[in-house]
Amino acid sequence: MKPLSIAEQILQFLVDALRPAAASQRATVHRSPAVALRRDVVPALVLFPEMETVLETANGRETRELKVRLVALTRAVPPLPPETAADALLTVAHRALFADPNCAGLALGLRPGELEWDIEEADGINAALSARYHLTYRCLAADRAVLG
Amino acid sequence: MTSDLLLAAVYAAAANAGLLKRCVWQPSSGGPIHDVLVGFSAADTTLFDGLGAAGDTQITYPADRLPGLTANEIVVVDGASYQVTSVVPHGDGSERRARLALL
Repeated sequence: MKPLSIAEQILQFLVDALRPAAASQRATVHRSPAVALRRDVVPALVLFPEMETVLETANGRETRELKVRLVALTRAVPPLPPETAADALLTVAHRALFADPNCAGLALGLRPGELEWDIEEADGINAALSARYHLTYRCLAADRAVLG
Repeated sequence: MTSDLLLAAVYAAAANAGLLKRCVWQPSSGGPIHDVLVGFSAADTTLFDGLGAAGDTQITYPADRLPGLTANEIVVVDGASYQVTSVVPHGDGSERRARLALL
């Protein structure tokens, strides 16, 4: 079995936590898609790991912060506002993430960050509502796969 | 040859070459049904810096073929229903370009 960092384990936990929430809105879940999502998989929740920083090092242990971006991607035909569907999708996703903010013991905490709204017209109106989340966790300085 | 006649000739040639699609529009106001041939394109375009993809579907037509076509009207092109999202003059204004959303 390949050793997985705590960060990777957290990301996998988040994707699994999002699936039921997405299904409740008839949406799909994707992580860092390499190709553009077509309309047959939209609405969609898309998770991107963005950055990880070391907040503190002490006694051979590091406190790290993992920053992720969660995008609710929706499409609507006017006059329906696509942002409304994106908001509903992100709301259920937010609830799902905060149902276990410690990610089954992997993380010390989950903190929401900024939101961004984006709209584009093509085959109707498309909305991308992006939310950032900050997760802190502690691991051994010498081994990112071991909780500290 | 006036621009209108030239446009008609171009569309007639395109129709003869099989390049146009059948477009049926029943105005929501209840006017007569329009059944005409139009230029049709459905090029793929990306959204949000490549996160999403969508067909950017458009029709072009001489302005007098679909008079009064505006946003929110429903058209059937090649058997598929679309909602018109915008209509803008094209070229010298004797032609129109309508953007569509697949229903």
